[in-house]
Amino acid sequence: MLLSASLFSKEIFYLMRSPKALLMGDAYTAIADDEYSLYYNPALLARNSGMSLTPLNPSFGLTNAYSDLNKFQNLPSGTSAASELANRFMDYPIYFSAGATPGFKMGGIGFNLFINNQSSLMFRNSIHPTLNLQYRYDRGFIAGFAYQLGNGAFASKKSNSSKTQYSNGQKLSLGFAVKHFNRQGTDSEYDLFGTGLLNTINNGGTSLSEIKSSLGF
Amino acid sequence: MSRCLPKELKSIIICGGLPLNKWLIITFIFVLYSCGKTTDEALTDVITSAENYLSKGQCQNAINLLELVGRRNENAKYLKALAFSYACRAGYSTVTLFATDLTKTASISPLGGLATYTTSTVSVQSPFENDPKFVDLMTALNILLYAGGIKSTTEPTTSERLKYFSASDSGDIDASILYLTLVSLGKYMHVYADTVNGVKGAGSGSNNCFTSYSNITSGTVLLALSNMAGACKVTNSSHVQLDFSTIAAPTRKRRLCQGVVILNTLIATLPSVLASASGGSLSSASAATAAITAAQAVLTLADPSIGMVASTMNQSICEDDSNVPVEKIEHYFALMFEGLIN
Repeated sequence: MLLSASLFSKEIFYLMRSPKALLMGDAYTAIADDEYSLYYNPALLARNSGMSLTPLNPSFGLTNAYSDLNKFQNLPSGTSAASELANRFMDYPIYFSAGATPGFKMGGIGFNLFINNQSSLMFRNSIHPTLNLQYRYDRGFIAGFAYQLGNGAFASKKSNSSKTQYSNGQKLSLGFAVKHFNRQGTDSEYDLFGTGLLNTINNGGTSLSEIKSSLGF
Repeated sequence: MSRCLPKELKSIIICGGLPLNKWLIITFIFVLYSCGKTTDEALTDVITSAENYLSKGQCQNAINLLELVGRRNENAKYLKALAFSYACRAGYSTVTLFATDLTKTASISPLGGLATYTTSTVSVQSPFENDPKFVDLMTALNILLYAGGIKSTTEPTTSERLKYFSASDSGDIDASILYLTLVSLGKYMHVYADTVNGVKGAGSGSNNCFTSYSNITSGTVLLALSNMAGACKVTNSSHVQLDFSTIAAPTRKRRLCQGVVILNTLIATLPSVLASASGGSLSSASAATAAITAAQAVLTLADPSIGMVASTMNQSICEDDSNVPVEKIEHYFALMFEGLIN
């Protein structure tokens, strides 16, 4: 891959993300045995014993704007709102997400409802600004089942007098999951000074719902 | 290790000590079959990179990058990025236009404020038609006017562009055309009307009119010209680069046609853009509608058979079509241009 002249890289969108996985740099698929198992590896439900219920399981995400709080104060309005917005937020990534995934796990069975809203936007091109917008609003459920197939790998250990065989690793299991969800979303670039967005902003509409409406949602 | 396989297999299986040429073949195949971008993804990345250049003010890098992939006449985002890269090199900025310039539009009535835009007041090279910044503005305008691959012999109207683009993309292209037209017209008026602070004939030149009106034989048109409110009261006070007596006829017509095309394009796009994007700084530009409508009324009253001159947005048609004689162009300048700036 390193030798490829035209590698394709783009941010991967996850249906839901485990905070623990985020902290581990997403090296998580083999050990995703928390309440997000169904989103990473349904087969790990086989490790589950007993029953667990997570009634809400909320998640929030926000741009780290601690050092740029002034950007978000007194948002511009009026006749030059569009140009002021562009000047203030040019090349500044803005991210917002909120979601919840209540669910339960009982033995090898798991079920999660989910609702998740993610918005990621950035103004580009200071000559004729464009709004790059990635927006997703997902609602649905995911259900899964895992079946333990065996006891995992075996290895031998030789001592002075005998040779002992022991299980060295986790059990082999097979998992299945089905999901159904409704998604509204876009991943596109919009002309800030084109007719659609400009009309909304010129007339005082700077809320997300009004901007969404002007983009056709 | 090199003896671990039969000779026939050594050339296709890596068995240690692989010759360089084999590595090259494998590498080549690997490159061919790796997870490469599709054409659309590659173009999207080029556009994004160009926009990043534009954000840094590196206009030439943006132009180079976008021209390197070849003109993509079917892609509205590409065309807008390319057009605004040229506009960037011309000193244009939509943000500046909206933040400071649009509100000046009618500040010197009727539309003298256009000549005070930021991009209008920078010094220009002579002759004006070869001024690099003006050439870049016209290049940007033409990229958008002929978007979709409209032939150079066709009038680049909105309805033509709608054959190639969605209503949304076409609307955005129209808005971009309007912005570029406003600054191009401001620059054109600033130079040829010899303005200072939006007042015609107040500069260091000797002219009070855009051009000489030596070809006008219509008494009605001449009467209407003499009744104009602005500085142009005589028929022989032309800008030196538009002077009938000193400039070769084809050159003069070409320069006059640039003005005709710019103003007609403004007239064609302004109402539709204002209809779909009202409010804000654009309200200032809407003042242009009233001024243009008034000038059009004077023109059609004085010359009901003005014909194609009042509608063409195609430089070639304006220059070459027999239905666009110089006399009619002078009618247009006398009653439209002279009427829009005093």
